[in-house]
Amino acid sequence: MTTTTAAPPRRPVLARIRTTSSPLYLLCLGLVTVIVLVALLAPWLAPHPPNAVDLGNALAGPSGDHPFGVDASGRDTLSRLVIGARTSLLGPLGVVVFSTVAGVAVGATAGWRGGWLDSLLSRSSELVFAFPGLLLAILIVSIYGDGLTAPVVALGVAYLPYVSRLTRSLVLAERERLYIEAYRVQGHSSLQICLRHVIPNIAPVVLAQSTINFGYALIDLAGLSFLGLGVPPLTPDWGRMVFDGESAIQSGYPLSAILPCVAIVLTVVAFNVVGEHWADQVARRDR
Amino acid sequence: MSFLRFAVRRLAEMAATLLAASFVIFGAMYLAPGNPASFLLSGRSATPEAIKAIDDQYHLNDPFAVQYLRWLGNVLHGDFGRSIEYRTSVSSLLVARLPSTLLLVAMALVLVLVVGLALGWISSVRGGATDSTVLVATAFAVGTPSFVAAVLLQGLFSVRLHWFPSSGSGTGFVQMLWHLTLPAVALALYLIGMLARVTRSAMLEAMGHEHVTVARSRGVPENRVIRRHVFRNSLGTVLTMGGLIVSTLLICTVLVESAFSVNGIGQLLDLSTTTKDFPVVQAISLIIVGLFMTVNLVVDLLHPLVDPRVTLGTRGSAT
Amino acid sequence: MSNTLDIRRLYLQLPGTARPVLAGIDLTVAARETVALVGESGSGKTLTSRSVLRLLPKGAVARGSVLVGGEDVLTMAPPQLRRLRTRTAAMIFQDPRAAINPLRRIGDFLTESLRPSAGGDAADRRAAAMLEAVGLTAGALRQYPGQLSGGMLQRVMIAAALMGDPGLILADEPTTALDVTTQAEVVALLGDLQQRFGTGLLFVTHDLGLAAAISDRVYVMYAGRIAETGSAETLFNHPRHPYTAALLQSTPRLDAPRGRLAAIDGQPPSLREALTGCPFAPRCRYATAICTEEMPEQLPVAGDPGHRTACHHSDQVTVGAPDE
Repeated sequence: MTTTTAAPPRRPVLARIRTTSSPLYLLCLGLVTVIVLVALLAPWLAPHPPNAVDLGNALAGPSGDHPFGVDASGRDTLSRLVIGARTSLLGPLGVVVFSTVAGVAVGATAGWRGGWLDSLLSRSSELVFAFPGLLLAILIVSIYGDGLTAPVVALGVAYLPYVSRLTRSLVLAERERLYIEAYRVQGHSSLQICLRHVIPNIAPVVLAQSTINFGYALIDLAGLSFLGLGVPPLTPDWGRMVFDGESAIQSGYPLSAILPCVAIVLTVVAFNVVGEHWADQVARRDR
Repeated sequence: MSFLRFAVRRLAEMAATLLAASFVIFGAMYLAPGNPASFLLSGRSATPEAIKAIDDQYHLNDPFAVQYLRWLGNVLHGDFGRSIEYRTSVSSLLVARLPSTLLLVAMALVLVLVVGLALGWISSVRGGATDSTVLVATAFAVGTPSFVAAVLLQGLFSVRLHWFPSSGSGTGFVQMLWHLTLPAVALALYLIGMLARVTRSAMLEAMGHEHVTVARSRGVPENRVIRRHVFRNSLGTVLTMGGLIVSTLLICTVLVESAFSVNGIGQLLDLSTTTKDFPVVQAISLIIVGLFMTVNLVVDLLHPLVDPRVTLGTRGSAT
Repeated sequence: MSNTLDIRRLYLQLPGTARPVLAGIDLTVAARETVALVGESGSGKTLTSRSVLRLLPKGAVARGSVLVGGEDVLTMAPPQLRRLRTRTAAMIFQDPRAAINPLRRIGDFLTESLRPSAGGDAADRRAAAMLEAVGLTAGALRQYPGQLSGGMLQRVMIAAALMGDPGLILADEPTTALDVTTQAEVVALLGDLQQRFGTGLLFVTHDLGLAAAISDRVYVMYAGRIAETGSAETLFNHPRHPYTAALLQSTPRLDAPRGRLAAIDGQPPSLREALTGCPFAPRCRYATAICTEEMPEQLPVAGDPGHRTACHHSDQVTVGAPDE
């Protein structure tokens, strides 16, 4: 019996993603890069300590020393925005990493093995789907209190079924492809085939979806902070800053609230555009 | 299978999942560090009377299964227990706050459906510059969390322009409508963007179908062609968004009611989470999950009406 | 007597192409006449029939005239165009499952064009009558397309075409999606109805044999041009265009000696190529130098004014065994 040498269609992830690029996509990709860099280099970029209170200077407008003005406690808005990028992005990153890794593991197992394992996993997914992500986070916070870890885990669990469902259907489709049969016949184990060939092939779709999920996670976590339920009170965090600035709006000084709002919206939109573009590219390749 | 069998099966599935969800919601208090009693009391004085009250309410000395079933039985009778913070029945707290939230969600739902569908329709039919504008606008709408929308709307229309009040829900129907306008817009904005996009792409896809060209070829006026063949065929896709829309509206009331100090159920959830008034958190969580699943069930049952291929579809006996 | 359909020098250019997709089409259909338009995919036969209802692709530019009952479709105002589409001319489409909205009932489909002008009741009555004319019962009105077979759905399409009592019916490969037995039924039905209602019929198909069997006159199209036209019998027995002859030879026949199926080598020219000479020259066994330099005119064949062919070597064309 001859072995067919059907070469697996391995396509390096990044090379294919950089095909047709619209100006809008490039702009948003640039924006994403800038935001990530700001978050990484925050301590070196912020002109003032983010928690330096200066009550005498409360709610002053933009000046040379404070280009974006100060908030109700005299803290420099620009510095808080820059340092706040760290917490505001770290949480969603945790959510996305957790849900992607666990979701792919769960979905690939369900799709590959099938049978009772698949049924069990899909019933569990249905249960998780019944809870809106923010509700799970609130439930967890009401039990464990302040802190970012609990909500991040809760949101990770909430987003997991979306990743696992996607992965499962992709794996089901890949499983029927000819090169899988070729490898099986050559004696490779299921796990090997899965890890070395199937997952890299479905990775682009999953990554595109996870990029979009990053935006949703950011929205959820910022909302939590806005309610005072996420990060501890003194941490600079965009959601928290909106909450702090809300009373300032009532007094007629909107800047310290508006700027974190803009930061949130721009970040989410940028990640959405990039993620959707990648998803689009993959769909076009597969057509 | 017949529609009745389909409906019964879906109902059974929903009941099973709802049961499992209630189990999770009830059992969550055992996740807390320490024992449930200290968790439920957390932060408050642990006087012997207080502890006895907790024990009576939850019968914490009974086996877990018994506790759960007792709680479940009460819930099915509308008894959600007593709030630890306010020391009254949870149900009375909920009923008092129901009108504001109900009106708020209703207003937001109307906005989402009317504006979202209209934008999707116009965008797909007109194309060109209109389409591009709508795409950009909805991209921002989808990137704007409801609390951001709330704060921005408050800043502009309330504080700056004084067109709307910035807090409270008012008394009397007309007052409430006025007070809840900005909150409803804030609540609806994200979903308007999402629904507009979904409608747009569903209609664009439907426009490419042959039967649309055929209708035109038979002299049917363009408006009717769009309404009866493009929009009508997109309704199935739009309908599947129903569950997502309702669940998002419900959970985001927490954010919007807090921003606008509306004394609704959402605000109550926020307060109860902060004060660790767990019976209230349990009750509201269960209601939200229950409503979400009910809407999903209704959507599933409506689906065959919208798309006759779903349960019908085999050859009939027409000669 | 004026023709029901009169296409004169129709040119149609699609955006981004090097040559027109329709290049000078002349075609007539008289009342009660069945005319076949034969060609392979890409020949432009479907576009020709669609231009009668002005169903042109976006950005297409048309020149020439398409006269239905004496009025030019290409220059009609929208209200007149709608009237034409509702009452004067009707098309039967190739795939009835794609052509009928699966989410609406059959009755809805049938009456939708007439409701605005004639009113609901009159439209319903006519729909029931037309269903019976095509051999279905009025019960089908309440059913959904998914509940009917392909053959039944094509009958529904025919009934729909008859709703406005048109003088001209355009059938675009109405039998291609059906099995052979149903094909025969549908073709018989069409002929029957045509005689009863007195309509003209333009039957578009790729099957020359079928065309010759059911029609009075045939037009053969290739690469957007009419290659040959004449009565069905003449074209079938004495074709004077190499393409027509090749089509006839490539159709397997039960009474011919067994041998290899004669397919025509090569492909029709793409729209991105500009043409100088005859478009069929690269695939033609009679081709000579003049064929690639000069576009042949459509000229009448000696002794038969109704038979015209566009070929420099029409006198040499015979239908025989292909030389190997």
